[in-house]
Amino acid sequence: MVRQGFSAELDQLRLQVELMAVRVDQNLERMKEFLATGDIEVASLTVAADDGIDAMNLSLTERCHELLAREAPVASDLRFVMSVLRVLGELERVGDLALRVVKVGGEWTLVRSYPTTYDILVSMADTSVEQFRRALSAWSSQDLALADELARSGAVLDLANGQLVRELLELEGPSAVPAALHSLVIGKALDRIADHSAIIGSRLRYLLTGDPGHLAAEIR
Amino acid sequence: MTTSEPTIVQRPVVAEQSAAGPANPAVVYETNDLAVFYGAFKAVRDVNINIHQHEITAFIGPSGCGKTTVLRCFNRMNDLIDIARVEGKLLYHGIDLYDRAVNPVEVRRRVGMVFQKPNPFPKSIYENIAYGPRLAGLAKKGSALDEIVEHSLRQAALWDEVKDRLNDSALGLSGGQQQRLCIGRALAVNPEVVLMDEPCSALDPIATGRIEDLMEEIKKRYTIIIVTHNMQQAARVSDRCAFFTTEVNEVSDTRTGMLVEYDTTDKMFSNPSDERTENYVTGRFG
Amino acid sequence: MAATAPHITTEMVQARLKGQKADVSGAIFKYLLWACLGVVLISLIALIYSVSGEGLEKLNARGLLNFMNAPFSIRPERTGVYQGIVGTVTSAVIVALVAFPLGVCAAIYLEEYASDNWFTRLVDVVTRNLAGVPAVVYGLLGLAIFVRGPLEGLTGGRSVLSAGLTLAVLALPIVIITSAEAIRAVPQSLREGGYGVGATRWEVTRTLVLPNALPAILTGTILALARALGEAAPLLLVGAKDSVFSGGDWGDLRGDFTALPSIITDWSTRPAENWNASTQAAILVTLAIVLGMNTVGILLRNRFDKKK
Repeated sequence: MVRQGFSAELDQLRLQVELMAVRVDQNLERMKEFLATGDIEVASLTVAADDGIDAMNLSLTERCHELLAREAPVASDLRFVMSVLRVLGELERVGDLALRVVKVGGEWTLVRSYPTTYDILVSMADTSVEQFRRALSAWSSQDLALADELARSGAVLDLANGQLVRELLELEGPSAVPAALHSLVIGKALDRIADHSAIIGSRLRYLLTGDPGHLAAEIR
Repeated sequence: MTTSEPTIVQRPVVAEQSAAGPANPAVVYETNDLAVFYGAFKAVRDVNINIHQHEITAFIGPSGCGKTTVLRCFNRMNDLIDIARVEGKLLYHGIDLYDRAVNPVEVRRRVGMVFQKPNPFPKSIYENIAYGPRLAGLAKKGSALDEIVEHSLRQAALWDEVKDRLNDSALGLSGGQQQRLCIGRALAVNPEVVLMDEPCSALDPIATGRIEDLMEEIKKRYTIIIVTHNMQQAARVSDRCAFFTTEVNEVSDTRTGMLVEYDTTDKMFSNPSDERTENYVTGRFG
Repeated sequence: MAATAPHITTEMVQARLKGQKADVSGAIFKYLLWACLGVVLISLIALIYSVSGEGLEKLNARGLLNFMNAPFSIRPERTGVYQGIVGTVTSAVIVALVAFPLGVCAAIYLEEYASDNWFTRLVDVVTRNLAGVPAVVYGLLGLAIFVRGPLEGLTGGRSVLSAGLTLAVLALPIVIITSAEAIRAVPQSLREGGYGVGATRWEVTRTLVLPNALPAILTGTILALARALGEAAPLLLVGAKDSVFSGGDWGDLRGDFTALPSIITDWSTRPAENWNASTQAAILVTLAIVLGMNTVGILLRNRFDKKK
């Protein structure tokens, strides 16, 4: 086999993306904990960890550019490098969304005080983090079946989202409005986390098959 | 690459209609199980390919896979080799090119060739270009011939550089200029097809770039087939790509070339169908 | 890639670059070559010297033109090489006119047209062997075919025509071999360029191969000519006169003749004190003529070489 150095670099890149995804996953875990307990310490840990994720995003993006310039990849190599760039973007977005949840901060008690909507949010968090973990597992195993399943499951939180909005409209009380606003922000963030995870699955599917139809589906 | 069961014939992947490919223009060459032998040695086998008009088709593949051998069939240049023998069919506009009634000299007027190492004649620049048209009877001398020479040199993107020194020896030109001269010489007899055998392999990147631009320009009037080792060049320049590889015959310890995949260049370089093609274009295996 | 490279210092590099011992065997070989060249030059000079002493005197005394215009005579003070010059120059012309076209055409056929089979290989072997056949054998051939045999009527028997044709046959294998080599040396890329634009085999040969091979072909022809003109044995057999005779004028192709080698051979057998000077003078004249022909050939070749 020829171009062993290049092959090794591509493998390294894949592992580094996985590592970044693991860090994002850790932050999602912290987000869930914050949602459960409202612990401000956990929130600040999340914020701090996000810096590391951003730094990784930057260095891996640069590495992709370097590979494109120096190695002139084609076919599956090119699809891989382009997909890594895409997935890095998605991971970074997921990281930001986790931040958005914990930035609720002290207002968490307000959100907590409305049990119906709060429960929906907790369940949405579970689903979206599970969705993200599927994406992480699909990427690390480069498995087409998982990727396919993931690509199709974009609408997994639609129901919960709808339910949340309906409940929020019913809220009453003096602090209903601020509580509703914060809950909505959290709900939207969780929904987007699931979306981005599905996109990761779509992109992995295109990477593995090279089928322009899959690319179209992803962009749509 | 070795095949443990040489009797299994892997049909090459030939996709003529790709969803994203160019509309199907007229077919200039069509081959049916074309094979070339040097004596008893089978150099290349089972080539089935259609070359389309006004397109640049690239032949790519590792050394010894028969791409130059197949190319030289298209203008009967293999006739110059005593022991070369062709089997199967090669149709040019529906005519069997190797039919006894076909005159190879006429074929070569219609199908020009540019070689790997520039080979201008040891004559003046003017005489180099005028050589072909004179022999073909297109023009003997005077302004008719001058016109042909100028037109050819313009098409070869060389006119401005040499118009003041047409009587200088062609051997005084630089490598890139000599190759453009050879292209002009091939164009001077007004062929339909131009075959190029690694035309840029002896040239620096700037000269290569000029010739690639030139190819892009003239493909509107001609049909071009280029053999190249340079993957990026094939990707840049060609509309369709044919990938050849060698197959080792363990019994006789010989290598026979064969066509693996033939498709639009976009497909070949973004998502080829055959794994061997993928391995070759990504540079993993020869 | 397991061993570590030795640490390279500037001193090491300098020692290696400057400190190598001299290439003794190379120097010895070079001096040996010089010695060989020296031997050849000395022989040549000695030869010329040995003939020029009395010969130059004689030419001075008689006058060069006189010597060259006088026919063969019994009397040493009146003898001249006129008939010899006529014979030699006429033979040279015949050789050139016959051997050159035939030889070059044969070479063209062998190299460009014939396919590589047992027949052409046989022809090649035979030609090479013929080039090494002693000249006297060609003399016998000439005798058998041109002088006494079927062509006697055409040539007039013992005539300069027979001599010329015999020498042409002698020269032919050399012309064929050197022309074939010259044609073979033409790069295939040149031919392919011609074929590539739709030239026929004859057009390629005529316009590209031959002009390119011409300098070398001419060199070969000069060599062949020089060899042919210097041979005395065939002349003897074909009937060159070695005594006084009438005739041997320009244009007399079918009558009695003689040639310079024959004259020299004959005169050298006569009593030395009278004939030595004349013999040497004849040798000088011969050398001059051969040199002249060679020079013409070389000038021609250089002209075509520049055109390449």
